[in-house]
Amino acid sequence: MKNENHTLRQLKISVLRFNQEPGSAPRMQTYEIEEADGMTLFIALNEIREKQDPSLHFDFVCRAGICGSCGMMINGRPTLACRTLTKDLDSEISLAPLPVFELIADLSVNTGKWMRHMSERLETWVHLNGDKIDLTKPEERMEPELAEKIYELDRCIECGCCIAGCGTVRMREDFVGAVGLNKIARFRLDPRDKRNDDDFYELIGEDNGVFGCMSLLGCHDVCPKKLPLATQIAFLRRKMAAVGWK
Amino acid sequence: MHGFNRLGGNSVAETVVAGMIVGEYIADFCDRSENDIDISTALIHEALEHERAKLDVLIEGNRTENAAVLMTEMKEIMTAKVGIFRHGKKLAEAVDELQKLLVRSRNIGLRYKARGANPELETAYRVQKMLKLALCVAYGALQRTESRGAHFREDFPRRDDAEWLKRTIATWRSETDTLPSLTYEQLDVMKMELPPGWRGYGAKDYIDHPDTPKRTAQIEQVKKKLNGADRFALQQELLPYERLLPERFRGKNERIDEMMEGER
Amino acid sequence: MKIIYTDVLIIGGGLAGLRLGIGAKRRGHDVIILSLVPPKRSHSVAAQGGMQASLANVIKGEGDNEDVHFQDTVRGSDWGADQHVVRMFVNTAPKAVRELAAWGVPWSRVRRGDRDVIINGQKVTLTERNEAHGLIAQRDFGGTKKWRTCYVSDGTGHAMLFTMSDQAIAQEIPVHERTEAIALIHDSGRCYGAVVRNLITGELVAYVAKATAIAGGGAGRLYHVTTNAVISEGIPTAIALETGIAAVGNMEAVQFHPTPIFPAGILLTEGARGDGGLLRDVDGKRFMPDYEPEKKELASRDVVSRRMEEHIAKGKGVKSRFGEHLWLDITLLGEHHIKHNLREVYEICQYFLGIDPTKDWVPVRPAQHYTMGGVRTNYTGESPAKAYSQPARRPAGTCTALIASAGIRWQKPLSPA
Repeated sequence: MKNENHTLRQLKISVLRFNQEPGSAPRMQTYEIEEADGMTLFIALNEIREKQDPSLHFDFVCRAGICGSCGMMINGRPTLACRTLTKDLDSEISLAPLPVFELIADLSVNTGKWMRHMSERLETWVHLNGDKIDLTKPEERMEPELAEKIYELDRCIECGCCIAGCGTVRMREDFVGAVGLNKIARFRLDPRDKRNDDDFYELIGEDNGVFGCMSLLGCHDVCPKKLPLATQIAFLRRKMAAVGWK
Repeated sequence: MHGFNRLGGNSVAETVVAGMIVGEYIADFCDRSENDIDISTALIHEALEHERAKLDVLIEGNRTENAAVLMTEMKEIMTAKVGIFRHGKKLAEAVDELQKLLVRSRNIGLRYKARGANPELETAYRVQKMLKLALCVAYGALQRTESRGAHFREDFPRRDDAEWLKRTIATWRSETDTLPSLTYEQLDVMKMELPPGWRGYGAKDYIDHPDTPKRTAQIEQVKKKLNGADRFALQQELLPYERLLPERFRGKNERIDEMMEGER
Repeated sequence: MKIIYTDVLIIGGGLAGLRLGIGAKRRGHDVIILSLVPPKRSHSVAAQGGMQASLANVIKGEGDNEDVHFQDTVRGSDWGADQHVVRMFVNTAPKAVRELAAWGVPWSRVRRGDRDVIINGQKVTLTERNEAHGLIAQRDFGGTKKWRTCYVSDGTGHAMLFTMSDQAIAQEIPVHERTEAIALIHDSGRCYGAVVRNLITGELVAYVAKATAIAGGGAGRLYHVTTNAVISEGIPTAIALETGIAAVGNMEAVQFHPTPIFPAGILLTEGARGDGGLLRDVDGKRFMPDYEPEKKELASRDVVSRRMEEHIAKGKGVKSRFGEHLWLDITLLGEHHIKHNLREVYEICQYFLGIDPTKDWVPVRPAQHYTMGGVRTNYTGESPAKAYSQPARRPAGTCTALIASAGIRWQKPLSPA
């Protein structure tokens, strides 16, 4: 069965623009573009920049939904632009940069800086505690199910949508967010990381950590990778509370 | 390392392995005090100013070529004429057209003239560099009158080890050049552990290198001589390589069926 | 004038650049990595298939070792590879996988006992050994005889890149994101660093280092359609070329893949054809049997790519706003098979094309996939510049080698004249 031709629409894409140059101010700018079959916002924005406005800033890298570069507000909801099809949206589309992150210009924000800071703060790496590895010997074994469980949480692409959709981070600038809590959950599950719950409590056992979460769960709703944030955060909170009560 | 075609799964392996090996060598290099640097700030200043001037020309030069247009034209030429299946005629056209684009790229002007974050400026200086790479690809393909791995010539469909068992080496001698300078490095069959043969798929029709039968015979001799020896001894005799590895990465890899008892 | 000094300057923050940085830092040298994007967004993330290493843990990999891996790689290269470097590679690959395992990559593991797999469209039962339980698993990939490709579920590149990046953060290696080296600084055959542009502020800074390494990936974006990320433009390789001294090798070796989706170029897994998918033209006709009566859709990648382009050139392509393409039809495989065995294909079609491959045909067209060429180096990764005008310059006793573009080359000062 062949694909059917969709009716071609004239799209009006309005972008919240601001390049921080002296004398300039944030404004909405609207571009008109003819829709095409299979058009995504990656295709649309690139066409706009190439043919209409070379000054438009945005970030796409993989354009395949796996690198997390293109998080933005699409009609008020944070998601990945590269895999948003225009045919699933109204002909009038509103785009804005993710809030919370430092603005670079237009739709480009500095998630890299925020995420690096979070990684340093939460020490998001396997702590080997000086264990030496003999690379000629076979690897340490792991149960297949455990490997899968770890991967399930490892799938986070640090896109920042959870932060953009978070109520707490608007009130507490230093809140680690779902991305941070999910990372702790991932490393906690991993037997190769020699940290224990006391160590993790040092990192997130406070109001800017797991106890700050208000359970609004906007993060869970918007995560493009559909990570099990609701259950992981709740679980982590119980575990950390147990440490706190000791 | 991948030569003229790479196996699936080898590319990502190679990134990590190269990082491991070169990481050690680069550390060795930095360890040696004779490699400390002594550079004048005048030289650095000159390098910075040279690049600044080039960017200034793009931003303020009021020139006429459009960077995005040149980028698109380059990509179309590459896709249409330097693609999967190549032919001398199309390749020659591609080389000619890419050279013209390169000359035009020296005359790019921007519509968006910001000095800070500027995607159009990025496209402009990048397309100037990419065109040189494109010419290395197209010109190298034009000169290589054989087919090998992923490089297939409709006008030269056979692999030709006699003429072409060599690496294309391209340099860009001067900023005003419009073509790379090509030389070739011969591969040495006599040093190969696996002399050239049939891949096991694709055409079984190729022209042998004169050394191939010699080396093949030599290897047979070695195998006979070492009859009964383990695979490591044979390998060592044919292509000793372990000393090329950084010390920390030497050593045999154990596996379920190949445990090394007390051996290193 | 702003100058930043360091010991090792690495241009490129993907798997290769990060691992190189970790190696140098562990040996006590200061490292700075330059990256266009946050390292975790590097193109390495797209390496979905997996990484080859002759661990021989699965039953279909039994008997695998470095020798077999060596042979496969040299044959695969059509003898263009430097065999000394291939030996170095195949010996180190198992160590690389095991090191990453220790660092936290959640490699998929072997489960003892029976399991069903599909091989060549047929269901087969494999029995994994007891002694392999819990070791790293390998899958079939790239048509190698032994199953050798280690993987992490459906996201190997992601898992590897995140672990590597996190280890680099643990080592406190600074990564200067959104910076671009636009020229190398060199004098009398020695490289001293790079002129670097900050992509946010536009500022030009000189980074001066004892050793500069180029780990900037391939150049898929020379082509109109590529499976590569938008940042794969080859700029680090180009700035090495622009020194007038360093050279690039075998740039004409470019690999194409037959079935990325059109026009985006996002790769559709090989399994779609392997399990029985068909290619169709503008008339809905299955054309491959006319060109390749024996192998049809399962001829080698190069051959399938060629036939598709030939057929389009004959006017049998489907016309669209973005150009011409052909169709991949997997509807015959059935909904269950697609949603379970070809889950990636299903999701890519859903998200990027808005189509359901259990009912619709998928637009595909061959695209550039991998750049085999890159900066010419010797086996240590050093660029032996001036090797052509003065052949004697090649360091004595080394075997010259070519490290493919996904790897690293680094600029070394030459001994002065």
